[in-house]
Amino acid sequence: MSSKVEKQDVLQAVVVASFFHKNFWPAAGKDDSCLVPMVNKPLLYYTLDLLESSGIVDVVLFCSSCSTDRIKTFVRDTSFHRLNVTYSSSDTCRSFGDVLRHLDACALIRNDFVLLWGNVIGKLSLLPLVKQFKELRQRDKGAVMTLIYQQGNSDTGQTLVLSSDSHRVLFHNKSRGKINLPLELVLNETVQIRRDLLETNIAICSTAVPPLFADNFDFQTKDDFVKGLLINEEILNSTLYVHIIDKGYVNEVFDWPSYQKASHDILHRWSYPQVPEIIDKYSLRYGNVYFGENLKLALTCDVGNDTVIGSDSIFGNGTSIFKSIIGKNCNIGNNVVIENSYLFNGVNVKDNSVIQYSVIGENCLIKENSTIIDSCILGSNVVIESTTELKQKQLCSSNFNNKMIKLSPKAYVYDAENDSDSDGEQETSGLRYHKKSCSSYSYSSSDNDDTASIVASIPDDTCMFYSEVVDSLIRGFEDHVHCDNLILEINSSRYAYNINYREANFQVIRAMLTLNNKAELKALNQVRYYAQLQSQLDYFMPVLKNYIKNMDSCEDCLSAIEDVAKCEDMLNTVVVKVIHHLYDMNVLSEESILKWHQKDEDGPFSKIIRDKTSKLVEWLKDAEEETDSDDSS
Amino acid sequence: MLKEEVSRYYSDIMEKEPDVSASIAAISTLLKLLEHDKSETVQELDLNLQSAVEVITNTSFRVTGVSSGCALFMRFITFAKLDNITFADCKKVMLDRGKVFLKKLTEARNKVAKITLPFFVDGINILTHSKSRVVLEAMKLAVNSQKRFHVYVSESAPDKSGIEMYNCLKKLSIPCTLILDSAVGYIMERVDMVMVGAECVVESGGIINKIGSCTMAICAKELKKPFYVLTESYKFSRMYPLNQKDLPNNFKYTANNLNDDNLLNAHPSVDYTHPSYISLLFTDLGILMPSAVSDELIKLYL
Amino acid sequence: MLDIIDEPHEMLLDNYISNIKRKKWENNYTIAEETVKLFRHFIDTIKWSTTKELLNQLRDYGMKITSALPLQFIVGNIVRRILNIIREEYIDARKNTEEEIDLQDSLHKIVSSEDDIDDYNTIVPELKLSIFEHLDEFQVEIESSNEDIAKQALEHIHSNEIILTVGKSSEVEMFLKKAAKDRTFEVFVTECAPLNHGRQLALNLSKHKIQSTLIPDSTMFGIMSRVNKVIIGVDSVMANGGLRTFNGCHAVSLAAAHYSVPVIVLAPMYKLSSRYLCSYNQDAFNEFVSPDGVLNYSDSVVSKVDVYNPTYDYVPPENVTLFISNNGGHSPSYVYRLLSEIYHPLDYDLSIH
Repeated sequence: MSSKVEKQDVLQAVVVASFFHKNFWPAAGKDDSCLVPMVNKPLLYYTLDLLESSGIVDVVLFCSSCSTDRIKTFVRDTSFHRLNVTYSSSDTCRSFGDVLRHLDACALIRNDFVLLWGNVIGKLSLLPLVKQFKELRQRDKGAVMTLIYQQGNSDTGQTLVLSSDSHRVLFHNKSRGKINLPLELVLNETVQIRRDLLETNIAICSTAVPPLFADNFDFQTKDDFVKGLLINEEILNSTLYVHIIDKGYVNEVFDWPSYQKASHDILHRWSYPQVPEIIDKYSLRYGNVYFGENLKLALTCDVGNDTVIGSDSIFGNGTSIFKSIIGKNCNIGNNVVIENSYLFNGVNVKDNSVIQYSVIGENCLIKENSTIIDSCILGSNVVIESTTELKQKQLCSSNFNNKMIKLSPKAYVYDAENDSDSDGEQETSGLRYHKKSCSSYSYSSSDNDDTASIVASIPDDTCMFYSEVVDSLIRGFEDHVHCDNLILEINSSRYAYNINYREANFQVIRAMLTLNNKAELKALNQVRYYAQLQSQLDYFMPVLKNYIKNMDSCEDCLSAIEDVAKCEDMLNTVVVKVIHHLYDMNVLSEESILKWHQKDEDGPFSKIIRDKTSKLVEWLKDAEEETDSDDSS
Repeated sequence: MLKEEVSRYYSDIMEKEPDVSASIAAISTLLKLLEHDKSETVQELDLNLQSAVEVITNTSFRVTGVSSGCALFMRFITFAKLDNITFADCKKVMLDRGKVFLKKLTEARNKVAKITLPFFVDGINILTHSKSRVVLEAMKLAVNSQKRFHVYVSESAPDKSGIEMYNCLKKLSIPCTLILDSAVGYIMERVDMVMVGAECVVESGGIINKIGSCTMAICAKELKKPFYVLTESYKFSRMYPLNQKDLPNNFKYTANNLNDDNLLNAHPSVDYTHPSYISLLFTDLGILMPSAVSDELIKLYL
Repeated sequence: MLDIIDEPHEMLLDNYISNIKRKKWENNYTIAEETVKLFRHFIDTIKWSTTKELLNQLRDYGMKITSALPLQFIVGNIVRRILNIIREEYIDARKNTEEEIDLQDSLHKIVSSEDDIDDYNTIVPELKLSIFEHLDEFQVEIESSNEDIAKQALEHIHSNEIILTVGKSSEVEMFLKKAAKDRTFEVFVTECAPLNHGRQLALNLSKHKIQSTLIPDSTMFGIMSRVNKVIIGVDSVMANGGLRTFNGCHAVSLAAAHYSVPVIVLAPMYKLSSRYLCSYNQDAFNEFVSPDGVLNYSDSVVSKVDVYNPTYDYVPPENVTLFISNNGGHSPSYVYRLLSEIYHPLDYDLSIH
């Protein structure tokens, strides 16, 4: 190529520092989510560091006008001398698509560029990828974008069909669960169908991308773009390619669970050289513990593994810190327990407090004996009074939208129910936390989340078996699977988890009665509920008959019904009808019902249920006498 | 009469200022003698000083560190350029140099504490033996620099100086544990390093220290724990003992015991640790390997 | 390489630090050369009249780069060496009389001096020129250190010997190639996971017609009984004679000690460091890089497992038989003497003035 063309070959990167989501609220506002501290350095630092170490020199940084000043100060203060940053800001952009249209209008992009969000962590050498992209463009004139994905290790819910040799995108779908693939995809060439790819939101784009966004106003997000290009392939004449990173690490931080994962990875040095002691002044100790400078740790202070303590912090006696990231200038008192939490700079925690699985914003003050657990998010400058207990709350220091509940002069709790302004589309997820008592970690769909709360005290295997049976039954019901197959499935689960015979019966009946989730239940009233339940039971009759064959199993069945009815109000109201129905279908025998009724169980609930069924039992007894008398006569 | 005064002055210092080591006390005594001495020639002065040294070594206090300090002092003052005309002038020069020398030596302990500081890693367990003022100084500096560590002190029978060390550490609010001398083998796997002082450093690089140090060193070597010796440079001596028997009797036993003839039944108060058991020596001349000690001594005496 | 004309010193320092941090200058040799160049430029451009001023300013810069790069020992070595060169030239120039002025702090010093040692405060003309001359010699020394070490190869490697080496070290490569000109011998190279640079060495040696075998790290003990000598390269030599070298070398040295096989270490003088290993926990000694070489991130156990990937290993001085440096062979217990010749004790701690 001529030297004139080479002169234009200055590589550019476009960093979108405005995220259009409120996932980090209140710890960071909507517009400066990119400055949320990750291991005590703003997220944007990692992105710019990634660009600088790749050798990219020209960066166009887009941010919304209110946060431009903060971001400018930040970039100036850090040592990114070699980056040439141009700022572009706008008030009117509401989505990713708007940003690209704005950039197209500004005409800042002159060449192929790297497009990424300001929340990327990791190490990636971009120059070879850009070179590859340029070569690709020479072969395929319509190549418009190379998306970069990280190799994951489990189902990420994103389906991509790529052609095996050129990694061209043939199909893209972002829904979990079942999808339908058109057959034409596999007929013409060898393809890879991948569901294990993690989104990094980094893409290498050609100059054709912003005009494409400008032409199609309905492209709001990148997914729209991909979908649009795939659908309108002939019209738009543009193709997408994919590059998969297998050696190397890139991660995107867009909500609290990904924040947790990314900080865990940084502490475990996956993102080397973006690790605390290289980007800032820390010293690494055994067990992934990073100590800042000038720390004053008391002699009996216990610092566990996977912890970062920022410089100039002070810790009192008897304090224990575990798996947390503490910012600079924090002042922690005596006997404080901090676990799995993130404290930003300048936090002050007084004696005897407990902080678990929470995020505490900058300069907060938490007074004595407070308990802040289970994914609380505190904004900056919040003051929590002594002996407060907070669980799963989000707090701000001032009444943000005038609809918050006031806890104390500088602490207002966000009330999700009363806030009619919130976009109900996405529920922002808090930090992931586990309760120590049970690990009902089922990979099943959200249907089972509520039922999981009932099984809190039952051992793991049984929980897993139960949830698998529920899965099978739901699927069986929806897809009209033959009951023999269902029995096979349930049996194989039973052997896999080594459940004994009676326990299996118990769980199967329980499962059968709890196939609806809470949302569906609310929608049904009693009559419809019963109708649905009966249809389900009828459908599963062969299964029932297979498992309930003798006295023991009848007993198990009844205790299962009792167990479920205890928790579910809906079932409670129709329990008598259910038992009657089962008796009519010859699943339950009279003797078993009578025996169960006579059992003297503890607990007020069992008395209630037996009262309800006493009428039925009376009728049964009468019927028995009649048959006896019939027989005798 | 002179001898009594010397002996009294020395005993005074040793009793009233427990913080001062034996060598420094001896050197102060000699300096005092120099001030009040009425001799007219250098040789007479020399003789007087020699006899004073003898007196000091014959007192009831332990004598190990004294000899090296005195030898150094003698060398120091005689090293001066004595080309002046009058003896009085010579004496003045010697006195000045003596004071300078003493001042340098009293700062030695702080220098040692400073170079030991990086070795106090957060959360470390240290084993020490008997009471050493240098080790105490080093630990004091470490605690003031916000280092966290735990100290195990062995009792060091028969004079139970370990208990004194334990009390001093407690006053500095350093977490410490007192252990029996016989428990050294038991505790060695738990500690990360051994840090002791020394009463005398011999030319081979080995040390002479309170009885029990040799056992501790052998134990440390076996379990691969570093054995560090903290000492001031004026304790370097020109002896070269090859085994325990080679140690002079006046080191091992105090003057009182020496007078009884039956030394077989007396308990020695020091032992000799071979240089192969010592990892590093921390002195005010820097961090030295045991093999570097003889180099230093050669530089001085030859 | 740096384009260093006319840029302010802060910029130069920053560029230097970031080049090393981003691994643009991969090996110690390059870092040593660049450091000498940088400091030569500083000596040229700093305005100084007395040596004391120059020393203080350079110590400042040295402090900056060593605290920004605590795990690169070579940087500290070169800085201290240059400071010592300046001190030596000054003393030489001031040498008016008698005694050989010993720069070391010693008992002798305490005994014989009247006040504190020379303050470096007198103005000495033509000092800059002599410093530059000496720096040039130093640069030549660095460049030719590999060759100087290789010159001694024939004394140590004899015919029909079996040599074991670990990973890829440029000193060892040159050493073996030089010996191969006159002797025939066999070389076993351990792979040195996870970077596997041993492969490259085995390839290079075999291109040079040296019989070489590549073995995985785990089989090293099995063949140790047949090995005559172990020859390894290092990252740094610590002040007590211990080594900071490729991971796996400690195991190799223990295996060699078990079979009484001599361990020969090739270390040019600029790799001699004045630092000690402070704790077996190896804080501020070892560099832990991304676990990517050990376990793939896409492996499902990643979130439940702690994976460590240390770059270096510490070999205690008891396991080393001989050091070969550009000025001959030494035993590990002699290292302190070498240190006293190339560094001044006042420079060990760069923060004091």
